[in-house]
Amino acid sequence: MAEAAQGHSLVIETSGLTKRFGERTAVDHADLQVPAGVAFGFLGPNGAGKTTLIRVLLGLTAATEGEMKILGMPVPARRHEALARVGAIVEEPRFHGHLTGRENLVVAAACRDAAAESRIGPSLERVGLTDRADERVKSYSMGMRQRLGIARCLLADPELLILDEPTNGLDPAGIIEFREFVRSIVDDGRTVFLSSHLLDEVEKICDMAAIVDHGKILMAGTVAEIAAGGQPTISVGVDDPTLAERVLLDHPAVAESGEIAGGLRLVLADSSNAAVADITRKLVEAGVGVYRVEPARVTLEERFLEVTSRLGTDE
Amino acid sequence: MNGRLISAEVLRLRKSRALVIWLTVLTTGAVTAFFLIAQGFHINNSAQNGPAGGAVNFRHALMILSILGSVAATILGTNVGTSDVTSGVFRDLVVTGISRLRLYLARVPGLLAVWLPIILLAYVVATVFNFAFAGNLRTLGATAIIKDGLWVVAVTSIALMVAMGLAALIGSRGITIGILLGWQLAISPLLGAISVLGVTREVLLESATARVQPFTGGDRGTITMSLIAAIVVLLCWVAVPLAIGAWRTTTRDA
Repeated sequence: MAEAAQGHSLVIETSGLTKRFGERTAVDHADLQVPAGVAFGFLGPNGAGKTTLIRVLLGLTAATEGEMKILGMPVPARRHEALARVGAIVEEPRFHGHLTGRENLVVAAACRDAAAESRIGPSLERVGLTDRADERVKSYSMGMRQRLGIARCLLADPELLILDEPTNGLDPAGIIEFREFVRSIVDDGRTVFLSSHLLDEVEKICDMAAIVDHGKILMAGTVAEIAAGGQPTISVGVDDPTLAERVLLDHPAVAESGEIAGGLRLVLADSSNAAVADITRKLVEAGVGVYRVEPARVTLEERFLEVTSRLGTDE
Repeated sequence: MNGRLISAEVLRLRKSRALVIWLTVLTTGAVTAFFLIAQGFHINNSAQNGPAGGAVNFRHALMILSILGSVAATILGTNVGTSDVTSGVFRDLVVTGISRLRLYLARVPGLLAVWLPIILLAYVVATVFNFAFAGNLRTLGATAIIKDGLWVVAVTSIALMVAMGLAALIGSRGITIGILLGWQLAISPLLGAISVLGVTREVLLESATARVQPFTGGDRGTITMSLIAAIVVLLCWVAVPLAIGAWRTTTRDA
């Protein structure tokens, strides 16, 4: 498996991918590169175009313009070949309720290569559904359906798993279980591409991410790179935050300040050592007790809100 | 044609117990009820009511089977034409990369594999009653029984294909059943009765099935047409809805 995944440096590659529904542009000239062997988060608010991009990639709806490759193969030209090694769940997994879990997998395996049927048992085992596999799906909980959906993906022995909002409807225990499952899949050398509006989930599960809004891909990279990509920010531990904020009100190196527990959070216009030293000096000279100065850890959530709100402002 | 796809379609349909039960009720149940009720009348008053079996009654039963069998076929065909889409499974099958056309075409033999045993069972039951309740009445020979059987199978199977194709086009089972029953029970007989339409009425399914009907009887149209024309019309009634359904399946957003 790992060998196959390593055959392509990029498992998903789009260039100028666009999808319009009448006047509305759901995906707007998206350039996306997803490297092999990582958990890649596709992050955006509801209605940002995440599901539409996935639907276009999978051939569920046609692209208006642009090019795309999956596992190094151009689609739709080589769609059949490319998707043969891709497992995907779009929105929520659907099944024939009157069939058992195992029978649903038999139906799905018929669409795959001849070996897919022999993977039914191992796939059910991997998602922990062996004991309930012979019950009708209509009696399954949402979490069980999600797991059965994953088992259906595994029938392809996939190099790439595309999961659209996979934690929707899962309880906290199910989410933790899912997180571990994704990591185990990535550890196998496969790639997981998951879309989500849950920033915390992406931060916990993914190695890399792209932020999308209004159909545009705003930034992409490792989660750490994205989080660090904003304006430099420091947190300063002080004994009198109100006085400290007043002292720094007109400081040229401070672009923005705000009180946090036990101090100030400063967004810097100038993050040089000299500027930080001057900020500290000014505080001390004004009689403010400074007991800590450190770079602030910017979360993906903060970056996400910063980036997406900026786009909204631009428009 | 992928045998596994066909088997999967058969599995899906066979496991739909309510559907299979209703199809059996509309076919085997209907002919059984016909013969048992008629035989009941005969036993109750044999002077006024003859035996339920025999050639004439058998063909009355066949007319019932062809009509209710077509209704049953419509129910089954619309199920197959829409179930993947309405259940949402269609999308999950399409993302495997399989050709949509292959998915669609596999339904045809799958559908027939489920339908033929159902309609043949009803026909065999009718044939058994034909002999069992014949009394002193004439019964049909082997050739007539085979010809009549082929006709019933053909008529209902055409309804099956029309329903599947149209349902795949429309995407709604209820609407398709409504349209087909309205066509079959009201519009088609009405058009067939409008003499001003002349030979154009030959394109009606009713006219063509009446032309290939191997026995007289039933109110199945009054238009005379050549056998070849009738066969061409019947083939078109199969091919056109199937082609339209295939087109829609390959082009619809999943």
